[in-house]
Amino acid sequence: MQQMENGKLQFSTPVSRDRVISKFPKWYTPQACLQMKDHWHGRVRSACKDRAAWNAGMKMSKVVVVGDLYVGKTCLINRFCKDMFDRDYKATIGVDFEIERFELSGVPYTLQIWDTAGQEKFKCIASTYYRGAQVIITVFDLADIRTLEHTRQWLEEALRENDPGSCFVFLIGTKRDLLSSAECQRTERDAIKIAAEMQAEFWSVSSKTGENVREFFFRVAALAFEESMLRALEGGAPLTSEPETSSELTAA
Amino acid sequence: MEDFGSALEKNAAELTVMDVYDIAAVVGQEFERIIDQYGCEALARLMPKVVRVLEIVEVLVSRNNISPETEELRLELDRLRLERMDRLEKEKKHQKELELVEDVWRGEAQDLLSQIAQLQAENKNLLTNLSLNDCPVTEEELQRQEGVSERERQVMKKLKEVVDKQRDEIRAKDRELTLRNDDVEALQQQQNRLMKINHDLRHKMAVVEAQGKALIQQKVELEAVAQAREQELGQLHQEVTRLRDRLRGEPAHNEEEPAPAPPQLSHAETSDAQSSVWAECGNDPEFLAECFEVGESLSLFPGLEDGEHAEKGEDYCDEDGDEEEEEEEAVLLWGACEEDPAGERGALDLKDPNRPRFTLQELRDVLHERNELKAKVFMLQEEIAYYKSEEQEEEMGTPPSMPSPVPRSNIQPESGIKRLIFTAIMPMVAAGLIADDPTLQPIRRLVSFV
Repeated sequence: MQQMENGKLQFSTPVSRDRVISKFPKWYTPQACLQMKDHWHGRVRSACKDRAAWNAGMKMSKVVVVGDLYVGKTCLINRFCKDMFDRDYKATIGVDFEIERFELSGVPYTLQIWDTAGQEKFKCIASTYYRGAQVIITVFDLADIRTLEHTRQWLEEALRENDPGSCFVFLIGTKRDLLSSAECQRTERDAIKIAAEMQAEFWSVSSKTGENVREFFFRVAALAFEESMLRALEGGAPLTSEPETSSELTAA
Repeated sequence: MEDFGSALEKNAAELTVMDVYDIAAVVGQEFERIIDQYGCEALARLMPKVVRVLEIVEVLVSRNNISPETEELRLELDRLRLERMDRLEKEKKHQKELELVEDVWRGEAQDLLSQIAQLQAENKNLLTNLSLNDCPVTEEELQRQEGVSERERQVMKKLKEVVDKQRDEIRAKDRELTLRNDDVEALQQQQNRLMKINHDLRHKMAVVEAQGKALIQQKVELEAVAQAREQELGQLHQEVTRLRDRLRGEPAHNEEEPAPAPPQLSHAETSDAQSSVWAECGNDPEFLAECFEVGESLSLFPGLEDGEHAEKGEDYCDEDGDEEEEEEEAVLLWGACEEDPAGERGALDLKDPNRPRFTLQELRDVLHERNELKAKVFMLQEEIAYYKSEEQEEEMGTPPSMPSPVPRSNIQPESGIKRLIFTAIMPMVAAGLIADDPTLQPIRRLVSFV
């Protein structure tokens, strides 16, 4: 229901106003971030003024969210996409997805966010959806240090289905609201270490309060968008579809 | 003798004394002759008288030319007379010349007069003209006029340049205009094409909807059949267990309860499953229904080749370890039992309402179907929103939107359909959420236009 209302809003103005990103979003912590710059790449900025850029901009990027069960992957996505939070736990069956439309620097852009099941028994299904991801979000529970250790394994599995170096990796600690600031700092230190190992960008969020959720997804959208634009500009040919993703659903 | 005669012929005034003697001689000769003829007596009386006349003449003549001076004077007089005559003649000539000159002069004067008259008339004309122009003609102005003409020439030159430039500009504009016209025409054609595509798409959508409905109908029928089958199977199973019990003989006779368990599976349990297994699939009742239906029907159909498959599955629950190789494909759904503390997972219990029922492939199919449906819902929502926003726009302030679609599309380069394609359809196709069927080919072509 709410999504429908969103849709209407999105259509009267091309993209919902709260999905318009004009300034390049900043990192969470400089100790673990993928890019230090706080402005658009010059070529991308100039290309955005060009109508032809829309061709590249209509491309959709695939985001895959992985991590242990009960760390809050679905909650994170629901907080951002539907702005709601359900306290009760419901295991995700296999996979689910959401589509989010953005406008970056005046160009429409779409993220396809795949929510995977954290339960071991669904892994064989969920893993078939890892392919063709441009962004891999590995999620752990800030309150459960074991889930942080498992992120390595999750990332490895997700990367196995993708070309090395073709993905942005994020490491997300959830349930920040459950921790005191001291505990949080301690856990974040560990997480930053692991993020550096994984060459990932670290964020600490709370889906319950919504803290940093929007900022985080904006950052994801901006990085993915810029990367797509640069690839399109380098490739010269307009990117319309990714061949891997089109066959994925039929394979699944 | 001649001399005498000449003296007689002389003018009286010119006669000299000598001439008189000559005349007397002549007369005496004449007398001698007469005496010879007639004697002296005839002349006796005449003689003295003649002599007397001659003497008078002599005196008179001698009195006339008193001296040579007089002669000179007379000559002088004659000369003077001649001179006078000459002068008179000259005077006459002069007079004539003068008259001639006068005549010429008069003619000239006449000419000049006429010229003057002409000029005066002209002057008058000019004056009237001037008065018409209302500006007194002065020398300064004449000079200025010369300057003006110079300036005029320059201005003319400049004007000509300007005209040339403008002509070139007009030509360029003309060319541009034709180009624009071509563009407009191309856009119109494109729009027509798009409208046609839209129409086709809507038609196709309607067809697909109808097909969907037909499929649902079919599914319901199949489900009914499946249910009947399941009941039948349940009965059969009951019979089998009963037979088995009987075969085991009387020693195990005391236990009669497990026998009726399988038949209970048929209906009460499935409804039970509905509330537990699928409860976690979200509060979306449609999705729940969809999944449940699919799950139930599919759990029977993959084994249609050997109708025993369902039974086999249940057997497998009993014999567990025996069919290791089957476990791969039959990873079973545990549903909520894992979270449910009551659902302790031991051996697969037939009585357990949450026991696994679906194969991995079935779950994959269900998920795939769900994803496709979700993508379709998203697309339809986008379209509905688009039409709603269009309605709103029409209500807001542009009532004549349909009668003049061409200028409207020109004003708004981003037409709704294009936006729709860009924001909704193409990304889905790109992501493989919508099958890339040939009906989308026109849209692809359109994208390459923009």
